Amino acid sequence: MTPRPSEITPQPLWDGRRGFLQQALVLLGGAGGAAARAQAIVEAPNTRDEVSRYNNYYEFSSNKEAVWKLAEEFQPQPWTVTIDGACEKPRTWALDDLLRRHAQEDRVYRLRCVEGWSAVVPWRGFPLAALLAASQPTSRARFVAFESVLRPAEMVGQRRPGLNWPYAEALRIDEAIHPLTLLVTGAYGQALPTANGAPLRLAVPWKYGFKSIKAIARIRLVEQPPATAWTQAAPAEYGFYANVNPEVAHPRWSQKRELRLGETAKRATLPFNGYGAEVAALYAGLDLRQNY
Amino acid sequence: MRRTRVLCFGLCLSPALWLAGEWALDALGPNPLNRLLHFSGRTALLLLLLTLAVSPLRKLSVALARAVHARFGKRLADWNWLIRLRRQLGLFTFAYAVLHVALYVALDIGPSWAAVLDDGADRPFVLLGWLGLALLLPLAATSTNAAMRLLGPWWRRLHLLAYGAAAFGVVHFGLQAKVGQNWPWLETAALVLLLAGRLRAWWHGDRAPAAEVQRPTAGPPVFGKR
Repeated sequence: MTPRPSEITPQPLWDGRRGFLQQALVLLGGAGGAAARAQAIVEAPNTRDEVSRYNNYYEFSSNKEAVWKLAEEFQPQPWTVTIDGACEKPRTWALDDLLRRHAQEDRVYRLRCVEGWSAVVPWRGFPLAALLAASQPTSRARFVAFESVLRPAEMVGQRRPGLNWPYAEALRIDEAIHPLTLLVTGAYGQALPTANGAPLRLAVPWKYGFKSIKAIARIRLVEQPPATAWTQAAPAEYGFYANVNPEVAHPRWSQKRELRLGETAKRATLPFNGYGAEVAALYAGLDLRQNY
Repeated sequence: MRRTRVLCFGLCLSPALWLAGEWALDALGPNPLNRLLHFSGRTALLLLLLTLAVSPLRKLSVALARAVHARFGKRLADWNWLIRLRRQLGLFTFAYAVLHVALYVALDIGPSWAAVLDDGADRPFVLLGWLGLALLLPLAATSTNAAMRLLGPWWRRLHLLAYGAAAFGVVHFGLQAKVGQNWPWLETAALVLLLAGRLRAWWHGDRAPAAEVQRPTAGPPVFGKR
């Protein structure tokens, strides 16, 4: 009997299955934080005001300096997130249950926006892998699709056309279970500001910021590559992978440099935003110029 | 007269002082580089549009005086003081454009020729900015009385380049903004109006656009002869 193509494990996953299992075990053993902390950030974090008052969140505005004000009225409580699709245990979680179940860690990550600015943010959260493991993905789960909340009454940007609402993002399953991929529930040791995607967002530090979806309401495990908001809006400008890459320019600007918030001069952008040692292996053999 | 010029000088200098103050007080906001570049660039464009508005405004004041049949104060309505500020406005335009480019080279791309070429290739709007500066350069260089005398009628033709510089400036500013956000509509409208006014004057036989140029020679200026 020939297996369907979708049932064949991709070569890199098969080759790396021991590492995959070890990673998963380490994570479930609660030592994932240590692995992630090995990536020391030497730069000083930005201030809370810089991070929460200058950012993109099109559900509110495309003006980075207007978002924080418009997001003030957003109600992040109570909150639920549904996990379904190709898994044994689909479930709708109350956020409070998730917070009780998963120990929260503080992690300082770089954030690089595709527009050319960056920040260093002390996030608080837990590995996405832990949540996914609880849902017991099946062999058909090759991608993880995320969907933001749809609340045009509270999110004025959703009343305008532009992006397809609700905002959608996705990761390959191996990216999703990578120990660096964090489900964020707080920042600066406090609750997550509504402007930064409260109460639940993603932080995928080696990818451009638009991959780190905010206000997550639904997570689906799927077999086919899911459509994502920015790739649908401008496929020639924003790809599925969106790995930070100084060598591949955006069609309208260079990605070689970035402006760290609070600074007057630009600095060089690092491949994979400085997380190459941890994640470059995920893309071995992949043409990163084609798969931008 | 002297007082008007000093006042204009102070007004033109104030944006630079304001920006320097913000920088010194660490008050440039979350994206300080953007603030520096936007503020200097917008000021340059505003001053360029003001420079171009000088002679239409002056014509407008004369037309207005005629329309209301002003019998008195006609000299006042000629707004001669305005024309005398034009060189200053033009030179301040150039100064802010140079400041804008200096900040860009020093802070945005890092001072290297390779980076200048690279960035121009990566960001088309940057090229437009360079073209705008290239057009301003000969204008600043020929702003002296001696150059005006030397170039004679060619001086006026040469200084029509200011319209080209303004067009490059507006498009340069518009293209760097996020799609669908912050297109400089006011600046665009102002430039279109100015161009329309210039074309209208040309159509009506005014082939020497800067006819109100302050004559650098000795003796009383010969305004309003036609």
